[in-house]
Amino acid sequence: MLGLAWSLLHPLVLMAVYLLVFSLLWRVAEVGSGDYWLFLLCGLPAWVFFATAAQASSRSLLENANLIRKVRFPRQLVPLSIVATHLVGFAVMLVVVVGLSLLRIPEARDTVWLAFPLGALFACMVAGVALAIASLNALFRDVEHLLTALLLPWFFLTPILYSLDQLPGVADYPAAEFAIHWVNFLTPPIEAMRDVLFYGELPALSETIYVVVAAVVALAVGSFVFSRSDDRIAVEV
Amino acid sequence: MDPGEISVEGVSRRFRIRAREVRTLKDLFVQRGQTEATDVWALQDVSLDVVRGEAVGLIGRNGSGKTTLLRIVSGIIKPTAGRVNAEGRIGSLLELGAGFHPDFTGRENVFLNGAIYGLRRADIRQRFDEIVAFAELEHAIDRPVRTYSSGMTVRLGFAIAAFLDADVLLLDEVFAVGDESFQRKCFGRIARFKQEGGTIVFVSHDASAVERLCERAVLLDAGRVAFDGSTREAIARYRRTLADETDPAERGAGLREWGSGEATIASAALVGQEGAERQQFLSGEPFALSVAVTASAGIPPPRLQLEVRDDSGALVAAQAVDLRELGWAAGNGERGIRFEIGSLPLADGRFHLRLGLTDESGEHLYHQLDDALAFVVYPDGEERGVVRFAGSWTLEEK
Repeated sequence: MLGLAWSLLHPLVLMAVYLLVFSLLWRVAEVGSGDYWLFLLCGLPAWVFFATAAQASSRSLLENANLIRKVRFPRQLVPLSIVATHLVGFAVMLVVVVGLSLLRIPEARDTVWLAFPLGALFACMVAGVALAIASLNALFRDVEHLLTALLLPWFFLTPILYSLDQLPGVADYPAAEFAIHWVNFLTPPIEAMRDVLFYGELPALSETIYVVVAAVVALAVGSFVFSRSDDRIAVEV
Repeated sequence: MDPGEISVEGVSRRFRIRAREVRTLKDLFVQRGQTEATDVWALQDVSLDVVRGEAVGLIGRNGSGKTTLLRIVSGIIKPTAGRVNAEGRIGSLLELGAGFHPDFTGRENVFLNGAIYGLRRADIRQRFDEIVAFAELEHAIDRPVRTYSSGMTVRLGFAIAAFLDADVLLLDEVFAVGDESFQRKCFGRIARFKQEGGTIVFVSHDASAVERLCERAVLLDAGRVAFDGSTREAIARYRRTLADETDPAERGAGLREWGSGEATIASAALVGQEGAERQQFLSGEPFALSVAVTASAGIPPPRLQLEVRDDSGALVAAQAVDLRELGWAAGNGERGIRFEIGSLPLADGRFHLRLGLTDESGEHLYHQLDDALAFVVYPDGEERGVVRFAGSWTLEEK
């Protein structure tokens, strides 16, 4: 029980800090009718889940090198177990946010439950990314550092603090908007989740399709990359 | 295939070695393209079939491919060519120690390994006390494994592998660390595992350990099978290849056979209870020596002498028999002679058998085999030392 609380601590502290800075102190933006802090909370769980799971799984194979070198077992389980651990935290955060949404935003009552299938699809995306990153980091040891360096800019290039269609400069830079919206594969699931949790709308069809396809593609690519490098992992970790 | 069988068909394994390895993405950009790679074939066209209940030793020099073969059989790495099939639950102890997570406690590692071997939590809990007791780690089981000494790590690894109902045990240099009393326990446990029908593949530099455990051994040389057959023969060949490289003058020195040759010992074998030839016996088991003697016409029936010595060369027992008394009237042709002991009076250790044929007076030597046979005796219970006393204890009123 203590272990579970401990694993929830990191995401909760992260979320608390984001809330403190961006919602209470800074008071960034107007986001339509609702509270900004809830807007922020609708996007954060997915990001925190992705960032912590990707980072932890990138090191996972090296940390379990002793096991991998000496015992036969499906090595995919190493990064996947990390994802599963963080998935618990994600699920708890999601339940909390759903509860808050039900309390504060009556018009979202019909759509909030859609956050769970969206969350499940998102977990598939994270699992695929984790598989790929973990195996790549076993072959190229600086992948984890690269990932750490990337996460901060990536956070700002993902519409979590802001909503993409409410940025004043978006119309002038359609290329940037396109990149943030469609190249950054975190944007569609986060926007979709905010649609159902915060705005009480069904997610756009294009984003729904994107999330489903991305989940399948991520899993396929992740397991392909992993199984291609599986043998080298055992030799090189 | 049944659980416990291993089949290795034409297996080769290549490792790519580069002068400068690309280990980071940065290297990939800075170096611009790979340096020339050399292929090292750790194994080439190795084939091997092991049946259930067999113990096979892998011997060979450093770099001959023993550990690579073990890792391939265990499924950790894949062969570059060929096929490997090992059925059943495989317990392995590779490169000193099982797959432990250094930060987990001994207890957690027992459960982790059990889970990897596919055991349910309840099954592991059931065996847990036995494992800890065997590893003699009652006092340290809740400490992280990184605080263990190498001996403690191997003890725990061995105990896990041996008690988790594996069908196959893959053991790599298990006895390189660990004190003598633990090694004795390991041997006992492995012998029991074998009797219960478990399959063992055993790698060691220590020829006597291989001889104690395995009837069959495979000699690997530069990744190829140089010999596959009886352990004695494999070890003899192994020693020969080692000797070839060391001192050529030493080679002729180990002459183990001499005599005038009118009568010769054609063959000799030790036979166990079930009638099959073997080199390992449990203390107190039925034991038989079977010798074939050929004699040329014109000599009287010879005497057969038998000497048993232990590893240090001390004489344990010596006996002789006059073959005329056994009813061999004229000393020509070939005869089989059998010497049987109902309950082997040796306790523990490795023994060497010297056989000699002399004339009736015992003075003229026809043929002598100095190290005709070697065999190993395992204690059946708590016996120690060389000899087993077949006595009985009683309690008397005073």
